[in-house]
Amino acid sequence: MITAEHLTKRYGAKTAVDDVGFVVRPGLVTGFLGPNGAGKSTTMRMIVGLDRPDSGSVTIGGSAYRDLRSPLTEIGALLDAKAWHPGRTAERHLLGMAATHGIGKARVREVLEVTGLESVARKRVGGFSLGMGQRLGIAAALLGDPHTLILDEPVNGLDPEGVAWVRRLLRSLAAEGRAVLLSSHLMSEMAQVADRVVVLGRGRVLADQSIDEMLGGQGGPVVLVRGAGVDRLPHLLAADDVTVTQVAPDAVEVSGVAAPRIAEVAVGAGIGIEELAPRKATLEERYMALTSDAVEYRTEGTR
Amino acid sequence: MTATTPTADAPEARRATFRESPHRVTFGGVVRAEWIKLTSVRSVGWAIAIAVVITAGFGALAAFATFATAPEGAIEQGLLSDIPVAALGTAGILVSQLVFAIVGVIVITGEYGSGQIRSTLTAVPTRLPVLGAKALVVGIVTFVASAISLAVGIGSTIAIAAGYGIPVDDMGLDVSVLYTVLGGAVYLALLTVFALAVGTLVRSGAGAIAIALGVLLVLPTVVGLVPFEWVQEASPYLLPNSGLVISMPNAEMDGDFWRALVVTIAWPAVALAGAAAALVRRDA
Repeated sequence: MITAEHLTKRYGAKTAVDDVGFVVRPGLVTGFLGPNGAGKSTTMRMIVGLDRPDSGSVTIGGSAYRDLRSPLTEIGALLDAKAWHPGRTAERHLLGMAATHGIGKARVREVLEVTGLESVARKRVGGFSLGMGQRLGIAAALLGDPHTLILDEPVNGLDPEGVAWVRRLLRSLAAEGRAVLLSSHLMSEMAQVADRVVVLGRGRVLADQSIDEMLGGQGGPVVLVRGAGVDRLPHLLAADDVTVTQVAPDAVEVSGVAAPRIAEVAVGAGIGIEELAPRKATLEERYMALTSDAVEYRTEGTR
Repeated sequence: MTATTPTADAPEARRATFRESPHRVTFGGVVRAEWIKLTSVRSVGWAIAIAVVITAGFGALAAFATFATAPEGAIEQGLLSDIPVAALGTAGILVSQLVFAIVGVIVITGEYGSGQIRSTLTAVPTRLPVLGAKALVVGIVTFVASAISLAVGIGSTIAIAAGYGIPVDDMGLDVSVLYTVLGGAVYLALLTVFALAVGTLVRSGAGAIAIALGVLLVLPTVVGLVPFEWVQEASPYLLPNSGLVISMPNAEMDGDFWRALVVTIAWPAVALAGAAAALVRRDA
């Protein structure tokens, strides 16, 4: 479990992480979202003690990372950039890390197997593709059989089979009771794998909620209405909290009104409805709405 | 804005699902890790091999050059007797010290350049054991490599001298030859640790090599050229000068020797202290 409280990190005049607090709970995959530069990677670096927060704290199972006597068995990390010497083989890289903790060769072989790297274990990692590098990073994160995992963009560069493998792996790790923090820009992937999401924007927490809350939340469902004469709907449904967007000559998307009410109004006005489909908002839409709000909020703040 | 209040699930809940790990970060483990890292990168192996060849080869070359260019009849007349054979055998130190400095630098700057440092410091978050283990491993490897190569260098010098008809009795072979080998190896090992510390402080390979070469080559030259007495007096306190005193053949174990030994130890010690402070304080 990771607990971040009032975490703040400044680089010169820029505040990369600003009073961030969240909890990564055991047994759940927590998605970590945010635009580039939102502070995700910096937060992850602070979690594993590479960067020191200017104020606030982050603990793993109650201890600061630097106080852990066996950090690799507490938390495994795949950070965004390559974290190995290109001239070393995958096996020697992992053996070097394992040696610090007295972790044996058998475990190194195990993680190479789990990540599908046995055949290239004796190859220099400098020649690895992006996807193979990701697998090596995941192997390193799993090395200590840790209670908590943090993975920064693990599916970046993986083929579809690899993406599905990471999804299954993360789900099974969470099912074993481990806490998983996962950052990704692939919203569809995140929606499939995450139980909760923490959204960062400009260094601040914009949302920290379950996926269901995130998708079902404010604004209500969007309803797609197709048929001749739907262009009259904006006028008919006009109200403060209703938005109607024309998406095709014969189709509109309505939000803020439930589908039965739309049907009632349309039938009353004699519109011939061919299709009426409530559509759950996608994570991507919610994310875009959240992060664009963040930009507006910040602009006001600096005026 | 969601101000998050962590609804802390008790850490005990997690402990219940996982057994306490039997693994611990130990200094011995960190030393083993540094040994694995040092021996699994080609560049370091090559650099050490080059330094060994240079150290041993230059000794042989110096002996060969001395005897091959001797005036006709000089050897027979005994004019080349009492040549300190060990001195010829250690001629390579002047060149190989540059290679060992580069070894010391790349052991750490290679980690910063490649990103390996993130894996290293994530595994050992207290960080100081990493620097200590690196200094120990690279110091011992350098000591052994240079002791062997100095011995080979002096050995080949003896063989070449004997080949030119110098009587072995005239070569000044006594226990001082052993001290020469040990002194040279101590100097090269400590110099490599000094370079490691500089690399840790600077983090960039090019910058650290420039500084190390400045200390080894530029500083003694500059001090030698400035005609003020107090500058001249600083000369014995320069690392390469003190190192050459302790690796000098037939060095008397007098005040100069002990001062040189202290100076040779002080340079890497001070640099390591600075490197340790920087390593612990800085973001990786």
